Amino acid sequence: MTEQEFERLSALIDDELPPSEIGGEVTKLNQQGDARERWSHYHLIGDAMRHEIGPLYSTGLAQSISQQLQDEPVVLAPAAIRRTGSARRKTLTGMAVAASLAAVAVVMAPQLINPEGSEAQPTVAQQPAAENKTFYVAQDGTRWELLKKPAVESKLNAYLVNHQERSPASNIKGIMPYATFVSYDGKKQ
Amino acid sequence: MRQSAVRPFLLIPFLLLFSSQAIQAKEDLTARDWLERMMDAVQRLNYQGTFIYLHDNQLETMRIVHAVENDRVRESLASLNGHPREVLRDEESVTCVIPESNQVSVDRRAPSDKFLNLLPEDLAQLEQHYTFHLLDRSRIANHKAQIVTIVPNDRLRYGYRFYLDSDTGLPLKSDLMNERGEVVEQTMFTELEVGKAEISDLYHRESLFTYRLQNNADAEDSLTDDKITRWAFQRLPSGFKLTLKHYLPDPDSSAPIEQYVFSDGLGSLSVFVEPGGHGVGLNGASRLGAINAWGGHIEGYQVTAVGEVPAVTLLGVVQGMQLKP
Repeated sequence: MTEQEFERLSALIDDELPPSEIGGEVTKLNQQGDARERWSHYHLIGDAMRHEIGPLYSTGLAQSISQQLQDEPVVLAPAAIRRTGSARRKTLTGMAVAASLAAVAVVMAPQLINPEGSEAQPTVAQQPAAENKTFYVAQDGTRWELLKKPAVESKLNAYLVNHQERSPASNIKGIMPYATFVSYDGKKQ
Repeated sequence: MRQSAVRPFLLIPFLLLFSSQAIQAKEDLTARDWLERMMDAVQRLNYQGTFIYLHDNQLETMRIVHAVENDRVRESLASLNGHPREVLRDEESVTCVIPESNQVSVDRRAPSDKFLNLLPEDLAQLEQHYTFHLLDRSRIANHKAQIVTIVPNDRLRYGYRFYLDSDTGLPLKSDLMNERGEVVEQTMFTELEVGKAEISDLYHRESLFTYRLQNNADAEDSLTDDKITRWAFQRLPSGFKLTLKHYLPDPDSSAPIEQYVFSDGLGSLSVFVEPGGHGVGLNGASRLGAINAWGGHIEGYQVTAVGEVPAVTLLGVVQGMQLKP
């Protein structure tokens, strides 16, 4: 994965390519199994960067989705539309990309947005009072985002300590990486 | 015997020469020279101070003490807000003191730690993926500071901005920047004493909790061990290499947990693989300050990736995982 590939694919994902280039990129993706796999890869990454990532399935994902696409092309377009708010303002070119590469739509299915078992962010419309209240609750430390499972957090902390102890460049950072950890508040709910 | 008698006499003029040169030449130091100075100072000097730590719109105060005695380092990091949390580290152990349990255990550190330190020559290698810049001068905690940045050449790693003490090279302020160049974490000394380091013993002894640093000394670095499953990592994010493979005993299972550490020399992440189907595990993505984490099932194994790298890099590594036939 190079930065250049990343840029090219992410431009396609974000609908930033000029319309004249989209056709060529899509054809290329459809022809190249490897590129198609990467497409789904980068789409997941895009979602992850927007903190929308959910469970990632097996590495044969792109292939199985391709098969699904052939079997049931109709199912995929609504999923693509529902992906994000910004999808709605997308033009026909965006829709064309989504439809031709419907594999992507499955990858981005909305039910994958949050980690399993964690509570979804309440929307303002549903719980305005609760939302406001959380802004003013005293914050006294850090917790893993989107997690409310003490057992999982404890395991992640153990992994984090193991990681930090074996990560290189420890002399450039010294004990400082532990600041995240020291700031961690296990009691906060 | 003869050598040890001669050595001190030889060293003195060298030391004098070196220190006077260092003072004279400070104006001409390059960004890389400054980073070398920092690496040396962080490790070699005695210092203690109070710094503020800002992340996710949260502001905290912490105290750091770094003591060097006969080449042995002891360091402590303690939160001064809220519950008294503390990490103590020396050559042999890491103890995390969290007041939620009455348990204390001091765990051995990995023997390979010595190799984890970045050496000046490694900076050259870092320059393949980062660019060093020397910026303005500033003043932090009443110390004159030189600003040096480590800017990533792509969006697969984080960047750093250091405000280094002109006199000692210690980082008075550090900013960690994400893949979009946004500051995600900042530390800044409000008070720093150099040449002094007093580490108190565990002073919250009544309420200790230790996250175990799991270690299996015999298994360290056993890259060719056949007993563990062998995973191939394909299409790694550019610049990232497997730097360590290691396995941790799993108290809940007979099968060990595999740990793979990847690094580009500065940024790093670990992938933990455990046989699936038992216990708890992260399912999805999470974040703690600048640390990203992802967990899920791959080929029947629970996989958890943790690291101070962008989510994109973490996922890039996980997505390329394949069980070797």
